[in-house]
Amino acid sequence: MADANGVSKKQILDLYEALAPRGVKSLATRTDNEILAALEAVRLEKLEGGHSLFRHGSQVSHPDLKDRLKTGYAPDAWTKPKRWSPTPGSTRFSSYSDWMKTRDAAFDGILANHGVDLRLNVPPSPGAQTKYAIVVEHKGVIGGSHVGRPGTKVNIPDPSGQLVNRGYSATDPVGGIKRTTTTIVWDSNLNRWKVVQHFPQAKTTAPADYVVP
Amino acid sequence: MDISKQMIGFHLRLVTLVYFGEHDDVPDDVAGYYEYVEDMKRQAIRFGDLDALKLAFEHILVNPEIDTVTLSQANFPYEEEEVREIIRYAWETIWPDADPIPPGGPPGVRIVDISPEEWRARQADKTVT
Repeated sequence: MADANGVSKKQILDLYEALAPRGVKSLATRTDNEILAALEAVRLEKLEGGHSLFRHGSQVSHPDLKDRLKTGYAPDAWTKPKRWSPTPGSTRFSSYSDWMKTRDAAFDGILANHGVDLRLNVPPSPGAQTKYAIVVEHKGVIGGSHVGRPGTKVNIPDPSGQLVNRGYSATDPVGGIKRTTTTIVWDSNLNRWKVVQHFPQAKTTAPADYVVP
Repeated sequence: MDISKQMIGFHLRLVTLVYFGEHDDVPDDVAGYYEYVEDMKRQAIRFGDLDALKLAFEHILVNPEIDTVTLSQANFPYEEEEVREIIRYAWETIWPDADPIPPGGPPGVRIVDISPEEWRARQADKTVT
């Protein structure tokens, strides 16, 4: 079943599940291209079981970004309990179009740096590399973030209740991010290369491996 | 020998960054990084960096003032000693027959900023006969 624009009810439900009411509502004021990008981004994430949209989609609020730094819990799957995933930099993309565009650029970067086009989905030869990471510098700003303030690391309870030094008592906003970090691994169960991390890179200490021409 | 900080991060992040694409927390035992260390080794061989990486790890392991958290390009709030444990484990795994590291580290090694492009050019020059 599909509506007049060819969007199936299943796609709408997936959109709702992945982007939460906040994300779906935001699409009402976006361009058609942004809505199509959101649909494709959700399709890819669902196919690969990824968490990038949950954690770094443009629907993630500033309080959620800061909350991850302070508590160690990421804004995964809004219908379920938050998931433990502490980080020193909690970032989000400016738009779903940026999420898509930068994801494509990561594949371009791996092709340029490693000479392998993972989009062709050729399995790795026995003994060959099965995981790739790439930092890409884009032409314009693609996201923003909050980072843990240096010197404010504190103990927070992990899922077992044990106190671990993974949280930050203070955070700072970082805007104007132009870089992304992406990791792609071979999944022998899915029989495909899948993106397991894709996020705006708040740190400037990681040099870009590939600059979008 | 000058060794690129950026080159070290390029390889080390296959452990310290990529691991968290498939896990939410550090492994109970450092051996949980094994498959990631193996991929780091494969990549370092492919780029002709394995010898330099060995020297770099040995230099780091005897120089506690080096900031390995920044070097690692991780997006996880590691403590310094945790990254050093990973480097120690990787060194022991990749070079199980290596001689003990001299107290001062391998002679003449410096870890410095060298862009990936410049490092690649230097490595290519070394292979020209």
